[in-house]
Amino acid sequence: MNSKQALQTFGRSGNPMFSDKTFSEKIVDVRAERMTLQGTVNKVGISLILLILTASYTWNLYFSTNDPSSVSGLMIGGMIAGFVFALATIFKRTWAPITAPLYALSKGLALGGISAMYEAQFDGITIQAVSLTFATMFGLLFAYKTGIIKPDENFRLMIFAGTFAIFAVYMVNLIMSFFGTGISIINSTGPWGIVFSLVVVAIAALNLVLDFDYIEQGAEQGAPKYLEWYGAFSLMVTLIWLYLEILRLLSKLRR
Amino acid sequence: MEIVLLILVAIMLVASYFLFNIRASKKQTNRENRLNWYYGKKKKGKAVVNVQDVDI
Repeated sequence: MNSKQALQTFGRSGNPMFSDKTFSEKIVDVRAERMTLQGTVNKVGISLILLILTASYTWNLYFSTNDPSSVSGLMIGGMIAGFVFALATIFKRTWAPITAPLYALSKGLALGGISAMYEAQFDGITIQAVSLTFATMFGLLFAYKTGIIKPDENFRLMIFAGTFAIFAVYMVNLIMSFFGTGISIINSTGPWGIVFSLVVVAIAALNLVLDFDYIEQGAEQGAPKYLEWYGAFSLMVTLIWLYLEILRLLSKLRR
Repeated sequence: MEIVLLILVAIMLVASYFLFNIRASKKQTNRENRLNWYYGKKKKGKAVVNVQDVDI
C-alpha cells in the first residue's frame, strides 16, 4: 500500500499534535543562554574588581619599598601576560570567560606599578586620571544611549584608521628605542606633545562608543552568552588604554 | 580634593551601571545606517533563526 492509498483508506490523522507543520519547523534550542546588557555590565564590574585587586598589590609593594625595581618584574610580567591573554581572547572568543578575567588580573599588576611611579613623581595624579577616565566613559555612554553620537560605517572607519595610526607610531617608537632614539613628540612636554596626547585621548575615548554599540547590538540580537565576557574585555582594553593616555597627558601638563 | 574626586568616581560608577542597563533610545536603535557587528559563525546552508522570533 502506497502513501496515497493509505491516506484514502485511513484518512488524515485528527490528532492536533500531527499537523502538516509538525516536522517541517526547524529545531531551535530556546534554552541556550543569550547575551544581555545586565550580564555584560556585571562582567565589566568583575573585571574592574580583579584589576583593582592586583593593581593595589603592586601599588602597595612600590610604596612599602620605595624601590621601582621591586615592582618592575611584576609590571613587565603583567604586561606580557596581558598581551598574551588579549591575543588569546581576540582569536578565540569562546575562551573569553577564562582569558578575559586573566587579562584583567595581569593588566592590574602592570597598572598598579605604573600608577605608583607616576604618583611618586606627581602627587594626586592617579585619582585625577581615574576620575577623568570614568567621567569620559559616563559622558560617552550617556551620548550613546540618548542617540547624540550615532556610530556608522564612516565613524568606525575613522576610528579604526586613527587607532591603527597611533599603533604604528608607537611601534616605530618602540623599534627606534632599541637604537637609543625615539619619536620625540610622544613624550614631549611642549605644545605639540600635548596636542598629540589630546588627539590620542580623543581617539581612545571614541573607541568606547564602538564598544557600547557592540554590546548593545549583541544583547539586542541575542548573541551567545560567552560574548558577554568578550564585550567586557573589549571595554576593559579601551578603558585601560584611555587611563594610561590620560595619565601621560596629565603628567605632561604638570611638568 | 582627593576625597571629593573619590566620591565623584563612586557616583559616576553607580550612574554608569544603571545607564548601561537601560536600552538605548529609538533614535539610536531605529537607524538604517547601524553598524553590522560579527557575533559568531553562520553555518552554510542553514537558515539563521532568531530565538526572539520563535513562538513558544
